[in-house]
Amino acid sequence: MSLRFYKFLIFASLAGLILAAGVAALLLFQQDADEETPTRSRAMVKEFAPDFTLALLGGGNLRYAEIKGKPILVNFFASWCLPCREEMPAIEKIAQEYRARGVVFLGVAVDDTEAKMREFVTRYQVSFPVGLDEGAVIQKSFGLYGIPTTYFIDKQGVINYFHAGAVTEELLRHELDKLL
Amino acid sequence: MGQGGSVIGAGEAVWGGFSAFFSIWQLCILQFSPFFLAFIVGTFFCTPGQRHAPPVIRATLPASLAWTLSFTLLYSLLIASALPLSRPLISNLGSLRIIAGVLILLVSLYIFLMGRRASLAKWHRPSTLIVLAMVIGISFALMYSPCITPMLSDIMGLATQRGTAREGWYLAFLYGLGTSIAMCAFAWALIAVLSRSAAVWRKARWISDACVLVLVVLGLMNISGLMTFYKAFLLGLAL
Repeated sequence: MSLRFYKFLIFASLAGLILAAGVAALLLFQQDADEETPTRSRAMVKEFAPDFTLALLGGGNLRYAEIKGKPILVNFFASWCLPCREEMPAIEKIAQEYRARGVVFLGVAVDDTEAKMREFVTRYQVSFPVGLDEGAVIQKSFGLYGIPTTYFIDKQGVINYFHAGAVTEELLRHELDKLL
Repeated sequence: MGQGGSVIGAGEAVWGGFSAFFSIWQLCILQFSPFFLAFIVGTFFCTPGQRHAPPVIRATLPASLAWTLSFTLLYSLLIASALPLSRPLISNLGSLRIIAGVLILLVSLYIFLMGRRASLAKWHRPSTLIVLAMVIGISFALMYSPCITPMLSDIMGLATQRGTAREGWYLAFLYGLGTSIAMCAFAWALIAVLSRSAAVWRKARWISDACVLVLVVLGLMNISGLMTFYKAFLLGLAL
């Protein structure tokens, strides 16, 4: 490699490091500024679940306002997502158990097609209401990046907990018991 | 709110991302890995006036580094949703994905023209490739819907809470870095094998054009929203 190329590589690496450091500093500064205002801290003040309307598989819409006041589990999934496939049997099992105790279970398919979502629901014998989030409206309102993610909403409409990644029966029981 | 994450070391996070590329999780990374290969291979083979393959690392290292940096930075920001900068990005993902599609089309146009217009050769420099690679890296992070692996789940447990968001972002950066390193290594190996053959080099323009086509399809899928069908049908078929 020529000297010129080495110089260029060094310059490019330095530029990259400066850029990364700049962004990191910006992030840290912003976060520190936010932490100075404790009332805005998510750790102290939990967020309310956003309002949403889900177009259900099989017809009809489900409005969040209709179920607000009950303990709610919202699971975001996609038919092509491997961990979503892994966790769905556990969610269905727990749904069978906790539905009788007043918990509302909802499945929201994101980045998916209706046909594939339907196949998924049939394959995993999902018995709770499921709908497709076309246009990613609900996904955006929850601030979601990555699937699966499961939200646990309490009777006051507050997101009590959320889990990014596949859930287990134990985790579901533990979090749902807190909502009851 | 959010789950508490387990303690993950920096090396462990890099390794987690690296090994994910060579595991069952590749099915999820398929959302962008073929398109990254198309970009790197396309820019390598579109080199105008070149009769023999240039050294692989020398020709692809600047673009690979730039892609790695830009993709990893934005990906980790999107993962760390508790950071103030992340929420607006996530809220505007739909619009940003359309912009990403347009940018991908522009990069495709560059590769297409570069293989045809000798007069444009003066623009085909590492600095140009670095800019293009950064554009592609940012675009890929925006269009990606990560499947949350067990390690990523732990990282997100930190990154989605205000109190631990910085640590989570750092680990997400390292995890993304691991995946990017694996992808670059795979791309270099592929190009090294391809460029060894004189017959392949004689078909350089065809290869480059095929890569352009792949990138054009990706750009159009992002603009039209058909990326959802790619994910649902092609990735679903693989499972």
